[in-house]
Amino acid sequence: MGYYKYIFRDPHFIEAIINTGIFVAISVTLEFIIAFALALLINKKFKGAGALLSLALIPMALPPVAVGAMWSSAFAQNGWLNSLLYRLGLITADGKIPFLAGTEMQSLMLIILIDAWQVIPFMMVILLAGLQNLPKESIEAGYIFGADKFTVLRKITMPMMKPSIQTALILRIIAALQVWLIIVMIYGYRRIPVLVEEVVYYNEIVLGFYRVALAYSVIVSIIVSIVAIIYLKVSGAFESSEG
Amino acid sequence: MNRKFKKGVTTTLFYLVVAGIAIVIALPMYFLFIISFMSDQEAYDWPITMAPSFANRFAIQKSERGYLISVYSKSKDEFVPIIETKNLREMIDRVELKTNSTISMNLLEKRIKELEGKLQENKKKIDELKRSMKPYEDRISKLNHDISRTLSDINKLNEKLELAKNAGMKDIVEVIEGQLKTLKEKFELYKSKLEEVQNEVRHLRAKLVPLSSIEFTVPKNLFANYTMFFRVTNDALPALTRSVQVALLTIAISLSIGGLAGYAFARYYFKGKNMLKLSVLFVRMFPGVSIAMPMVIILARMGFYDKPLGLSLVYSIGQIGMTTWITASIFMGVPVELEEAAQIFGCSKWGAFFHVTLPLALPGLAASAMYAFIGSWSETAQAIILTQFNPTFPVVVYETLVGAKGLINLVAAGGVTMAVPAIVFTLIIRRYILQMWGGITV
Repeated sequence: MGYYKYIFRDPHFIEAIINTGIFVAISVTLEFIIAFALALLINKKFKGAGALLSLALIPMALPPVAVGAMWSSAFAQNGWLNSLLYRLGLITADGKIPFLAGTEMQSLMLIILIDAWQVIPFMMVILLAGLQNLPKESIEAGYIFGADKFTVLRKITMPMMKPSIQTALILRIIAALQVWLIIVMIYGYRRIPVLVEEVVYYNEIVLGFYRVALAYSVIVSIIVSIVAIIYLKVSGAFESSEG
Repeated sequence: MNRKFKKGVTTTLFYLVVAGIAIVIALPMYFLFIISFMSDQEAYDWPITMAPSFANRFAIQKSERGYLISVYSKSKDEFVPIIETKNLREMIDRVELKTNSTISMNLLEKRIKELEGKLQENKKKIDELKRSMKPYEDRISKLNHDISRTLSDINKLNEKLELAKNAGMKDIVEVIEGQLKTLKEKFELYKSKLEEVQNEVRHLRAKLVPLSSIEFTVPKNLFANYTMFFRVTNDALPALTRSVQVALLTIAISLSIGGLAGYAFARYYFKGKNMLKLSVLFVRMFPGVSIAMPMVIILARMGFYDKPLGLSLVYSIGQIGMTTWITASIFMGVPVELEEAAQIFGCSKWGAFFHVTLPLALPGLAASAMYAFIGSWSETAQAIILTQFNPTFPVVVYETLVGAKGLINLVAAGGVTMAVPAIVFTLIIRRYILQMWGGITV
């Protein structure tokens, strides 16, 4: 139990909890909204929708290290993002944006954006599946009764898609609770402490703290399990015999 | 007419949005890709070029300490010096390191001979130009001196101003402010003059360069970063084989166990089936790092720690669940009637499975094998914890990225090496991935 006491007294623990909380809250909301919009867009079945979907699958498949390399080359002082902005005439040669020099909050936002880039396609695929399984008749009925597009979306589409929205949200929350690799690859250890990063930090970087790392991983597992069980309860997986 | 126009506008806007999304998704990948082909010189240039070059243009000049070789930078639109040396071997090595172009000794010697000849030929003109440059250079050094003196004066006055302000001596503050103003005006004047003179010198030098230097082009070795990555990080090659090993082992373990479980889920009804299926999913959701932590001790006791087999065992924990889910739905897709028909014609139960069900399910099984491959190929978090001296490839890339900030083009090469198989397999099994989440058709 001593190790748990050590963790609870560690200021980094509080910070990690807060950071993880902020990350989960903002990234999940942001990603959900964008993913939903994208799913509605692709569901229109326009020319090239298939190609766009294939393209959207690629970030999902990219190994985390490739994503890390991609974005750390982007955010360097002379990186490609600054070069691109300069060529587009949005910044001057002296006005390079120091992406990585922000405060902890700004850095967290940057990580959220990177994470969104990779994860939105995944959420979009789940939501798209939900959208496509909707019966067309009910939406048409909405229009017949004189509802506008937004009302139909809010009153008919969203409630009917509840299962896939739940799936997308909770899978995402579970994954967002475990984010760490991309943070470490861009900022290094202990710049923005999050829960799982602390596990690896105590295991890999400081020696002799293996048990602290274990205690941390138990805490993370408990949090994730609670969320997962809530998910399984809410989605009714325990009752249905089909699974 | 009006309605048609309106429709045209909305369609255009719609496709603009779609194109914007596509660009946002593709652009970072494009840059990762081109940076992996860039030489050090290109990758650290400002601003980075939008496409890698296939050849380098060099210029060689004679200098006091031997020869000066420079390379043309597209972004700066001028030649950037690389090294000044008498030792040709050293020059070749440095040039190769910086620009990924290998100049052969033969070529270099020939060019230098040409350069000597050219210098002899243009000797008079060069001397004349140099003589005309001399006064300008003197003026530059004088102006530089003036500027630095004015700057230090300004600083001193600023200090005094601060003191006077704190003491509240108004008249003195006014006097100092007046002095400061004139000094600042002077400073600006010097600066503009310096720029003028420098421009003049640049102009003269531009005339001098074609007279006193030889230009030549050498093709760039596009894949230099890739070979370099494997040479610099001496772990990379064994790590790559280890990664493939782990992936294949993971496929073998998860497909043999998960496939059998999937068949059972698809064909039989038994008590607790639902619970079992859920638990399989639950394991999948469990944080990978948390699974890996206690595994360190368990694997060490079993003697599998830091070995491909141990790693693939841990990966299989998560993959079996996924494989079970996928294969169950695949086997469900093969009608039971076919199996029964085979049994009627005299096949045994095993025979029916091997001759009828398995061939029909094979594409789906291949897809789930590829899915397992992608999973274990790109997995990094658990590998960091579970390896020590025998890392897998993603760990090597990760270590290069976190450890050495200055090798971004090498890291990009490593990242692309990682990404290519994952992307290829994903696009192959695209249909299955979409199906997994509820049958999307576009």
